[in-house]
Amino acid sequence: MGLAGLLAASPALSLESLVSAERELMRMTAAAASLSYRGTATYEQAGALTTLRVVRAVRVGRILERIEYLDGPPEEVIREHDLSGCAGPDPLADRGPVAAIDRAAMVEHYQAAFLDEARIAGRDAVRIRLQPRDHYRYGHLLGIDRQTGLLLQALTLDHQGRLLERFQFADIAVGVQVDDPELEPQAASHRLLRTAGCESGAARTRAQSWRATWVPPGFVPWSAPAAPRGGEAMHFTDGFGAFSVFIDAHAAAAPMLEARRGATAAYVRRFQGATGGRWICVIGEIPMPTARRIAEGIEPRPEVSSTVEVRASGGP
Amino acid sequence: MSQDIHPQPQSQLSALMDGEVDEFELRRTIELLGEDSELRAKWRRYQVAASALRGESGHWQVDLSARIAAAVAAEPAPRRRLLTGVLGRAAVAASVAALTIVGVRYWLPFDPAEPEIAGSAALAQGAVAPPYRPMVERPLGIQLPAVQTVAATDAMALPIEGQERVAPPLSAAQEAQIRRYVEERMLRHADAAASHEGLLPVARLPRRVDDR
Repeated sequence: MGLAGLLAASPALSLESLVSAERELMRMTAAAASLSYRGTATYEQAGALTTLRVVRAVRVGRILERIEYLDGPPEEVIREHDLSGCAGPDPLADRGPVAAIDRAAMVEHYQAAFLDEARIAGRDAVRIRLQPRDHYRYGHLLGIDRQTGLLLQALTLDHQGRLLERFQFADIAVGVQVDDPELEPQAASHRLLRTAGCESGAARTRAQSWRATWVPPGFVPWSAPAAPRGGEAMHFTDGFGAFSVFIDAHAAAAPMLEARRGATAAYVRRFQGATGGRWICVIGEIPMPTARRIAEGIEPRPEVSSTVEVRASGGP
Repeated sequence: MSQDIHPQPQSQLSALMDGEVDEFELRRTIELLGEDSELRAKWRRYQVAASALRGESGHWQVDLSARIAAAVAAEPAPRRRLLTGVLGRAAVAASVAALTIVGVRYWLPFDPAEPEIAGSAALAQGAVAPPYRPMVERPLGIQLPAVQTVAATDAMALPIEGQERVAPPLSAAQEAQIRRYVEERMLRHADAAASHEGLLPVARLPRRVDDR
């Protein structure tokens, strides 16, 4: 969709607003890859509030994060984000929510606009609104630090404008020196989370024996997450929303169910094929009807036509 | 604006949208809006106008007024409850969001002697996904915070096209199993999303999946 199409779709949207929104998103993308910081963030969903202390350091080839939950039992997540596999002109990776998604394709599915200027975590921020162009995905409101481009606030909203989740820094020091001891686990209970910025999702998904016959336009395969034994998993994103598909040989209590936690929807259904029964579980920050439709379209990959591949329209 | 719009509810609702309102103010605003449908309508028009002024295209309006009215209507309960209703079933004190099981259809164990379940054959042939069909006849609305289990029944679920049969009520153990299953998968999903979304999925992930 070209610029004319954008304007036709939303006559009230000014060009200036669009350009400024684009610029902010690009700044945010760059900031996610390059900034060390130390801060306190809140996350709220379904009325429950979680407070996190975050220390993040950018090192050669990787990003290190220590995330400590400040309420409830003392717990930490140590995240190591591997950038070494990243090739190409933009090896910084961990490029934030806009990661790896063709920007032109993205604006086909979201209308980006400058919303307002705000003060978040004691800093001047620019707020960008991403309104979905269809009902398959949620809307977002992003507060981006004026000075550094760092994402300070992220809200997820449904089509009625209801707030589903809110992530927000309460306090942050950006561009600080973070020494290694600060990144060591300090709580007795901690979890190591290894992620990688440049997974070639399409290639890994192709090798699988299950496929998605339908995903919302703009969602592309991102990775094949670890699945429980005997199962398979796929992960898709459109740059802002994401969902995972799990194909399980066994599931709890054999239900068919819908569940929800804040912005996260879960839809589980039974698949009965010639090779036996499986449980199809779709989980993501997507509306329930979307999750249901994705789940209904999950099927065994025909052995012969292994070239058939999930390819959402407009994907890279 | 010729008519007298109480300025307070407007500013307070703005503040509410930004989460910057204290409980007392919120209560007052809600009471005012809850009592006065005309004020609600004005508020909504005001929102539309403000949205247009900001150059927004208008179909992403936050119409809090109707929801607040609904919350007021639905919850004549104590004011504390009113607050939680507005904020969306908020457990204000909770730090871990409850997993809400929206609906459950219970399948009996698969019997290989039975004919293949309708629909899966078509799916296997790569047919278009079936149209959206509401699955939940009766939302169970089960809140499942840590440890607590709620007896659920699926007795209201009607068989559709012979696919489902009326199932016995789920036991507390089965419910706990469902919760563990969904939360474990949510955790895996969050881990996968962290590779491109960074911090947010870590904040979002369900905690203490194993020791509940």
